Amino acid sequence: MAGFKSFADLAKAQDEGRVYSGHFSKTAGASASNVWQWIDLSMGTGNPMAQYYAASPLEAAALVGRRGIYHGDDKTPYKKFLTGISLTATSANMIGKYLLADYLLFYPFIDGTSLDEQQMVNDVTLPRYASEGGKVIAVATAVLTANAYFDMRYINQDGVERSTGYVNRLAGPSAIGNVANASVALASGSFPYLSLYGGDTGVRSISSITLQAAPGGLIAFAIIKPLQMAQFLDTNNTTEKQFPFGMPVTPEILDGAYLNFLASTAATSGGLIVTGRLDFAWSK
Amino acid sequence: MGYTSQDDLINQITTNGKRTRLEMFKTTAPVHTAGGWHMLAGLGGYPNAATFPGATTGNADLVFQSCWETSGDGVNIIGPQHGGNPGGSATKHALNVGALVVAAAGAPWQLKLVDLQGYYRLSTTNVTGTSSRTLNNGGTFTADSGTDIITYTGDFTTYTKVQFSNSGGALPGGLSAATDYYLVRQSATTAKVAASLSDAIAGTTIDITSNGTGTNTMTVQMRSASGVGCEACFVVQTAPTGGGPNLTASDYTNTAGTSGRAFQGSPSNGAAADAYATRIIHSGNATGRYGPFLPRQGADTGIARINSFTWSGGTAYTGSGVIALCIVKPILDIVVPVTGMYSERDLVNQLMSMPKIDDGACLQWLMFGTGATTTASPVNTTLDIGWGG
Repeated sequence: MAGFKSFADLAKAQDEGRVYSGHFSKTAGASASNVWQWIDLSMGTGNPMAQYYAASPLEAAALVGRRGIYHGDDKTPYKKFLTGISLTATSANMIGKYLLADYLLFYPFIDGTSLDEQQMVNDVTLPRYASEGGKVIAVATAVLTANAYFDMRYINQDGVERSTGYVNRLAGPSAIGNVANASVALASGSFPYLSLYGGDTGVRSISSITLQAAPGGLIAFAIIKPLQMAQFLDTNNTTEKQFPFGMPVTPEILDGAYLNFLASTAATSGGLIVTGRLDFAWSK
Repeated sequence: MGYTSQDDLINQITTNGKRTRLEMFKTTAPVHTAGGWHMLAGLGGYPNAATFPGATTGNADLVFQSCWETSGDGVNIIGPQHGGNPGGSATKHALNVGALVVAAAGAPWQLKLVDLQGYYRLSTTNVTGTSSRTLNNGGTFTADSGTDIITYTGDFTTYTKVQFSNSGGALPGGLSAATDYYLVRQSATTAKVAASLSDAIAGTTIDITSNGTGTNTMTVQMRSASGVGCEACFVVQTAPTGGGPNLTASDYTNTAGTSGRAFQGSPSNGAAADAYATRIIHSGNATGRYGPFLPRQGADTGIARINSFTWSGGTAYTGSGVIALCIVKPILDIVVPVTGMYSERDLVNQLMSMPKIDDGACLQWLMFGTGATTTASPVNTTLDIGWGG
């Protein structure tokens, strides 16, 4: 099924009711460090409700799309696209970059005190992007107190098992909801994904995690599909991006996508709110 | 028709003066709890309204009440007057919007302009009960060619848009199937019929030449053809005493005329603390909340009418609450980031651009407060409208 063939085609979506706006308001959790720490807003309270990566330990699980930033029901055979992002916050601490992602799969309760190879159970597979896979983030679900390198074995985009080696590091301290592999101390200003085996572009599943040292706490590893980045620059203004003028390339939003944001903020974000709207349109 | 070009837009506005500017204000009440959506229709200000929906002896529960620019909710004028119909093939479009909120707390705010198509009023056991409520969208009617009056069950407001159909015979003379008509209310169960909204406003009605045969059926229509773009929400007029049920079943007809469509996700309703007047009751920061609208099914592009719904599970409402199940068509959004800041959006130079304002639109503002918005806070909005043709 085609997307939009022209400006007129896109504009008709409004007239024909093929549009939807999903509103959100999220309170960020505390961030352990200050500048540009990545935090997982899906774990923040507000609307949509917080999710806590709760499932059976080490077993792959998927999030229910309806419980993320709501983008409407399934649209197959039509294609749904993101056509706008609007962000507002009232604290200068929340200035920063916001990465909209589709959360595909997660592995909860990796034990931060164990140096054993922690084997994952993959009865559940990627619900979307099954062949190309996604990027991986490591989110603290209980406080981490020390740094620790770790090795991740995974199945890559070609179905080949790889190992990262001990190149990625969890940062301590990491507060609950912090992307522990993307602390300012480790990767200031960079994207929050784990480094993979050279040349790999995606992860279909995680086979095991082996910690080289014990950071403490608990960690959830999540496979995500990054969709779009927006910057929030000024507390007295709303940041908006619209397809196609300020956002020439727009991602398709697949049926069942669990949408939420990762945020990298200018200062500590605990208890601060970002609110906004995502606009969608679907083809016919 | 809107504009044929940017040049046409400039010419229509400057040479022909085909534009108007609306300024509206409302004063919030009571305190809005954080994270909730509200319909400001029932608030004081301009247009002024003591309550929404307004109380009227004819406003029976479960009957679709059509809302219009010139008649409001059938009791109060609840929407700004935007100048009537431009006539001919001309269509009105929003060109620019502004908003300002002054409140000690609650920022940032999101405001959404909607065209309130109508609502179904719910009270007594229709609020507290847990069985299915069947909504009245018309039904069978009889006609009297001597008086040009049709008789049906349910009190429909003047200007209600309807279509007629027949089985086993023929429609009354002067009426055609699959054609839009507008009721001119005569009593709680009767109306005359007008061929257009303009005729209805002028009181010009159709000469019914025969009573018809077989079974004649009348079905309400949204102002937006086939309900394209329409969404649904429950808005509180009077808070229930307690409880907070879930929407466990529903049946609506989509724009293709397919009934049996259901709102998704079993949305949960707010308990008493989140069920005050103006609140969209299934919005907020809690499990199962969807705001501002109930989630439509699949790729549905609108709601032609709602046929039934069931509130059960959770805790049934108690007390003497009054709630309106509203059908609205979203038009535009604007954000007010901080108190005292006038936000403005150019609706011409963007996609989607220049949203259409339908003839007779009953314009209403929905408001979302990130925090708890202080009571008695002024909300000021402006809307520039233009038309071509």
